[in-house]
Amino acid sequence: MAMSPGVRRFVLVAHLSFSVGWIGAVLAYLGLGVAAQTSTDALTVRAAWIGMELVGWYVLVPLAVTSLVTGVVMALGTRWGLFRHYWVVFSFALTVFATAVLLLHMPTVSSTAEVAREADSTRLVALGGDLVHPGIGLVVLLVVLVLNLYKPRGLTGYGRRRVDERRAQPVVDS
Amino acid sequence: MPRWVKVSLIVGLALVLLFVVAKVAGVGGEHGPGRHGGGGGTPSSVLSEDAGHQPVDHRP
Repeated sequence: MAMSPGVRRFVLVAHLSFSVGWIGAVLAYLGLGVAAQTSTDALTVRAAWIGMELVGWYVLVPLAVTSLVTGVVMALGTRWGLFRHYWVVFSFALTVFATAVLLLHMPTVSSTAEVAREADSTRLVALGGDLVHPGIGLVVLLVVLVLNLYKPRGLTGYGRRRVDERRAQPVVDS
Repeated sequence: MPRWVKVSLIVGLALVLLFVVAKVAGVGGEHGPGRHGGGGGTPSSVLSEDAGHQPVDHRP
């Protein structure tokens, strides 16, 4: 199901925009998390948690899902395939993992943001920030980025079978 | 299987084991909406005395 060069380029632009945008959004979210963790000003902590909730649902989640979907489209529409090369399998698995953890973590963020809206100053400052999940998520996304840029060699068993099948097909003279 | 795949799988497995051990040992605390003091509802202890309105769900 190979895409035409024009369609492939369009999907690649979309995938790169969503994927790199996701990394940027995580960095922005981390900035808010650091602010919430380190600030002694109650209003800053409240604003940071409300900001984290909004960035999470309105930016991070859409970028994660679109990055995953366009990545699958790119894999299936090109010679790389989704399960032929180890770097694609690893990228896909890590992206699914990162997206799943994000979706499971956001209710906690919303809940804490709700607490932040209502809490008094003492409780607000004690809330702290959200650093572990976005920190680990950033590392995962950077690993995926490196895999996609370097594309380390290695065919899976399925990929090797596909190559052997293609080599076994007789060449037809026109 | 290339060496980088084997090393990555070993590292990944080690991290999963570390996470499981940490969860079993209770390191890291509660995992879920109650982690930062929220948890479905809003604990009365964190509300200021004159807060009189209902929490609003800002999720899309």
